[in-house]
Amino acid sequence: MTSSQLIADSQRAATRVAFISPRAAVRQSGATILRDAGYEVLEVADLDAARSWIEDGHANLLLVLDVGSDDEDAFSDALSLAREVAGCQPRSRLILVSQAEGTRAFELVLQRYPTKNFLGFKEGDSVEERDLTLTVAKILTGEIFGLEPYLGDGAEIEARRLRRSDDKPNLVELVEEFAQQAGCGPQIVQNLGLASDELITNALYNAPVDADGARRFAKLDRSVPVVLGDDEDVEIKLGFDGKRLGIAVSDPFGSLRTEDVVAQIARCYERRDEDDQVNLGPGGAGLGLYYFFNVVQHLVINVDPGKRTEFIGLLEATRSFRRFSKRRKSFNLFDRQGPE
Amino acid sequence: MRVFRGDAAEGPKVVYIAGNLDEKASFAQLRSEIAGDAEVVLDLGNLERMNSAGVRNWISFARDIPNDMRVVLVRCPVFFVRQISMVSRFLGGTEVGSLYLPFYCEACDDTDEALYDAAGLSVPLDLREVTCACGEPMAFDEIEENYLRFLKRQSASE
Repeated sequence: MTSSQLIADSQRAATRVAFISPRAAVRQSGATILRDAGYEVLEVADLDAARSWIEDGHANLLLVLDVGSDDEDAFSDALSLAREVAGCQPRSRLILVSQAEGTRAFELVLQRYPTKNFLGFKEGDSVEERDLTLTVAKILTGEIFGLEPYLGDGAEIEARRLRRSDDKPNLVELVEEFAQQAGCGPQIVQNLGLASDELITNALYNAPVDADGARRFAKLDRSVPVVLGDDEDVEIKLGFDGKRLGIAVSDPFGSLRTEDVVAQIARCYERRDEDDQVNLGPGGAGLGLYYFFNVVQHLVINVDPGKRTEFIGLLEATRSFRRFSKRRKSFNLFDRQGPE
Repeated sequence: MRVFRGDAAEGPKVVYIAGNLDEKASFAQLRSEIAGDAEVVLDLGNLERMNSAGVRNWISFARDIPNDMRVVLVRCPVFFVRQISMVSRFLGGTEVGSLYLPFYCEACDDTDEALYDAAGLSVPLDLREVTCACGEPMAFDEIEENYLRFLKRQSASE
């Protein structure tokens, strides 16, 4: 499904979207993007006004909340509102946007609020149009899977399947070749190779569960080869639209516990200077998701419990690693059965 | 992962590590190569790749280095240096002697790496100019505070 089909479907949900930001330029540009996509948008400049809207019971409201960049007070106020929303409207759906550089804002948000949707954008720019409209559309439609909507029309897509851990090195090499041909610099190529390695390992060792939901290989040393069943293929997709490169790895188990995902990434950041950051016991190191988030600019996780889990990583194809690192981080976690 | 012993007649023993630091990397040979030495230099210049399973194996190795042994890492590749800033206790009982810094040329979009002694580095970086093959100056292609985060830890533990 393309991004425009998804957006068209989501408009039928007739949900109003409130864009909350004390900063006029951010608010107006974000609201314009959403109006241009066909949504009815409320612009809310003031956090107290937003509180009134929420307390008045506008339950069928999707909120886009600007948590700012470097102003700690504004940041804290916005996150207080996010917590209030979660408290008084548990079914409300919230997208946080921020202009803070690198992973800093995301790390701070993670420490204070378990966000599922966080979109970073550059100071002076508006929120990235495709990411904002897609996030809104996916929340409203529940159509959450697929790499293609994140890439422009005519994107080149390559797909592979695997069931054997012994095939992983070949696929990692394929990912690196794809990134190289897309024009990525050597450091980014290497990072994408690492990202695919971690995602494939996760799909082969952590994702498989038995009929009772017990993990089949999670405690296995990763040097022990595994082979999945005939109908348990892991799918790897690579896409490039001339500017943005994407990688998606999906498994047919849908066993990822979404409530653990944000906590797991947050833990790796919080324990960065502590002895227990890395699991030295049985199973994996507990770093795979953290690594993946570090080597992409936008991480999307889609889960249909018991049926499918998909990890998508997106990044701008550039040769400069510094330019890549300066890009704001974005994160989405879509759970087909849970409130966003 | 492949381990080779250097043939230096003088100075500390040099051991070369090459290939992939991953789930298949065994440190048994490396442990036996360095056992009993007071000072060892590990040359990492030919490492090609590392994943989280390799990081875990490396941490187990580095943490078990005896306090009275000095293990100096030289020619640390860029991907290895990044692990140091991302993962706690990555260095364990080792120290960085020299490392590669990445550079980028805005003029021709090319990239390169250059080797530096860790002892001569500090944040903010003050480097001699690195010139691209096209003749234009190249810029350090990382975030200094992130990439060189280990310098603070290393100097604190000295």
